[in-house]
Amino acid sequence: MNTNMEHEEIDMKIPTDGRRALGAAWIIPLALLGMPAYAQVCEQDDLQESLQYLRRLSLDLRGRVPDLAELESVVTNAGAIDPSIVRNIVRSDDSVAQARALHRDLLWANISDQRIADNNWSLTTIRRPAGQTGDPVYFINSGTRTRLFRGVVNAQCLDEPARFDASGRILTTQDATNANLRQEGWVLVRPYWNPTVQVKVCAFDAQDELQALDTRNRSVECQATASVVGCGCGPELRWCQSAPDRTAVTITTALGEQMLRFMDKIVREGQPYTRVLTGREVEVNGPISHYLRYQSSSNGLGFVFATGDVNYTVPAIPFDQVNTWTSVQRDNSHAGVLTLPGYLLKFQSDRGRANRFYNAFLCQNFQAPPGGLPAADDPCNDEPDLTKRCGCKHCHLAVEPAAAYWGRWSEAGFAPLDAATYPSFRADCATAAGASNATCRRLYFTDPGHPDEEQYRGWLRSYVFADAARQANIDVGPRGIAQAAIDNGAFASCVTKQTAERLLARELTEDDADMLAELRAELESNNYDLRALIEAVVTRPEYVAAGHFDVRGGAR
Amino acid sequence: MIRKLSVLALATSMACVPGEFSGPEVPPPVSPSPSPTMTPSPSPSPTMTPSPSPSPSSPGEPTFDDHWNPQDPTEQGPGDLFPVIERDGKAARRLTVAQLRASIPALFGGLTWTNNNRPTGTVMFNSLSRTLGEADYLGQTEENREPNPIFFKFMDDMAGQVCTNAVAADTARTVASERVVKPFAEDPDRNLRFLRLKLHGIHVPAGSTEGLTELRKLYDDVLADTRSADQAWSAVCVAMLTAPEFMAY
Repeated sequence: MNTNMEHEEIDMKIPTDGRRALGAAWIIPLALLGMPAYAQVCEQDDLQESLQYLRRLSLDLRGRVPDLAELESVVTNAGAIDPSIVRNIVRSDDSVAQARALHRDLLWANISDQRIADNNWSLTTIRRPAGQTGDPVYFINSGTRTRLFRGVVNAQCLDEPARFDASGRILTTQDATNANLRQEGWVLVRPYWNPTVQVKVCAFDAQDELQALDTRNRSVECQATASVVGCGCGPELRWCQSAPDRTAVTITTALGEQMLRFMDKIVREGQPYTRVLTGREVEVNGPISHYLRYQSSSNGLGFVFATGDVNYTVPAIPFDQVNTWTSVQRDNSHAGVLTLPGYLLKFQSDRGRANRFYNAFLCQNFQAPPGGLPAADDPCNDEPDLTKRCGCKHCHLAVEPAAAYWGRWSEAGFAPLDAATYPSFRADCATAAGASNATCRRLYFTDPGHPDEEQYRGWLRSYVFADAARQANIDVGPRGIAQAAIDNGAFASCVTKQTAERLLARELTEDDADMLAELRAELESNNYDLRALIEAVVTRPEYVAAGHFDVRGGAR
Repeated sequence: MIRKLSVLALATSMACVPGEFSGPEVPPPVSPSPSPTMTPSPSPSPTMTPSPSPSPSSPGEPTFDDHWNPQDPTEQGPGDLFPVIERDGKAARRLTVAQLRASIPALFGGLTWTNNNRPTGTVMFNSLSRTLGEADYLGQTEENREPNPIFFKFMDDMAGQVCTNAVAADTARTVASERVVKPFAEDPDRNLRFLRLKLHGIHVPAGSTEGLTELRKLYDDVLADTRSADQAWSAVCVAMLTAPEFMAY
């Protein structure tokens, strides 16, 4: 950085009448657009315009003000900005970070507040009497587990080493005042979230058997049950979250980061931006790998419905390798960001997913009809099919078919619902007994509330009121709506509009139609390279001249 | 509100042009687009152009034509078949919290705004992220970039701490060229030119004081009051850091 630079008066001998007529602010864009440039000697105002242009460029594309050296180079060059400076800024890693900010806005990329494990699988530490200190002792503070292990709800273990009998069974101490309370001690475990340390864990909770016998002597998988006394958190506590160590937040943060990294890679490598909707390559890090391999199935259907079977081979990466990201190829049931957990968990219902797709990738919003909805007591509200119900149909004629594309992805979860495991109709779910079956209640339609709904009893929920066209959408999955948006140009138009509006800091109007058409052509001719589009926007007169732009084609 | 308007007015009309620090000249009001189409009209719309003839009821006051007071269009003088539709190419806006988070250390040799003024303290741009308007995509899904009073209150705090620390660090530096706020402290006008370029991206040629007079007065006043050049440069730094020229683009 040359801080000793003397800022000399610029020699301003030239400007010709012809140049004046063009408008001073055209000097920079013409130069940038490869047209004959007049920029070697500039007027004072042109110099200031160039400096502010550089400032805008740096703030918009790098997220910070320009370096002093860059500003001084503009002064030294009498206001001329070398096009390579613009290109370097557009192609910098910082510009990928700015594109990430755009994606964060589009996808509301934060699911760190979501619970991915219920109390039966969450470790916390025991409470000690006031004034008593000691190493933390972990236990699962759920009524189911504590009653099972110690006979009393919310009972924790004793703060002493665990004792075992000759066959290795945990010994307990009966409480002096409560005959139902039997407490064990703790054992030392190297937890999966930090294998370099040993922590104290109540012995029942620390059990590491993979299978155990239930009360009817049936062998059960401990990873999937919280109601068998011989089952705990598994080896290295792998099936449980730790609240004090924020393991669940680490996982949800990683799932959000996975989505943004997916977008980053497309931008950084200049891949066609359409892969945002169709790409199948995705990266997995330690927390995600651990969650998918050991924890996603633990909670069953009653909570977040996730499984380790995510239509790709999950690489085995230790949980503590947060910064190790490994690429995997998903199968063709996946569709870019639309089937990533970050998207599916943020927008938990199929309708919510379709709505966000329209907002973020088609630049369209669903709004109530002009004049509003009919009164709540209007009998027309009794119609159960939203594509026919008064008022609702205004949007749902489009929402329902769009939502159907996610019909084979779990709502309130991200498990794919393959047809073999989850057929479109299950006769047992149509029975009275089926109505109390967990899988039926969670995924199938079991509780008609209207005569017209009776015919859908026992059908997968996404099939309710689905006509043939919607059923086809369910079959093809999110890839179908993605490809349609790409093929009909709606996606390209939306990306162009969003990019231009973000950089120009204003909503575009009909007056901008020509600019939009030109920019969209630029995007398409550059194989949907987002940064080529960004470069096209920031070298346009509208951006270069900014507040001095005149629609007639010059500076005002 | 006044400050907000000044931010936007400056950035839309003035940021590129050197001017007095006290604020930009308010640009003439921009008339709204009269029509969404740019197709020239064969005759100027009577509702778009104030009649030059005075209203019968209000002598001397221009009014619009209406059918109760028919006028001969040929008496209206020459019309512009291509009405000027002025609009911003790019609108002005306030810096984001992320831009401030990245820019402040870049400008001040790594210094940033911290809790309790401790070098290792919490970065306040993070602690006050939501208060300053940054979206967290949980409770707020869109960044609030309004230059509201809360934002400027905290920006005053930020500038006060960062500038004071930066000037103190400069004083400890023996090589003038390594200083980030006052490399030309012995020549205040030259140093103000340096800061104007570095912080605002506005070039003030050598020998000119355009846009510097208020800053120079501030420097002189604080110096006279405190007899401390460091305090004077801190005050100048705060003024420039909280100015619309810095906070908007």
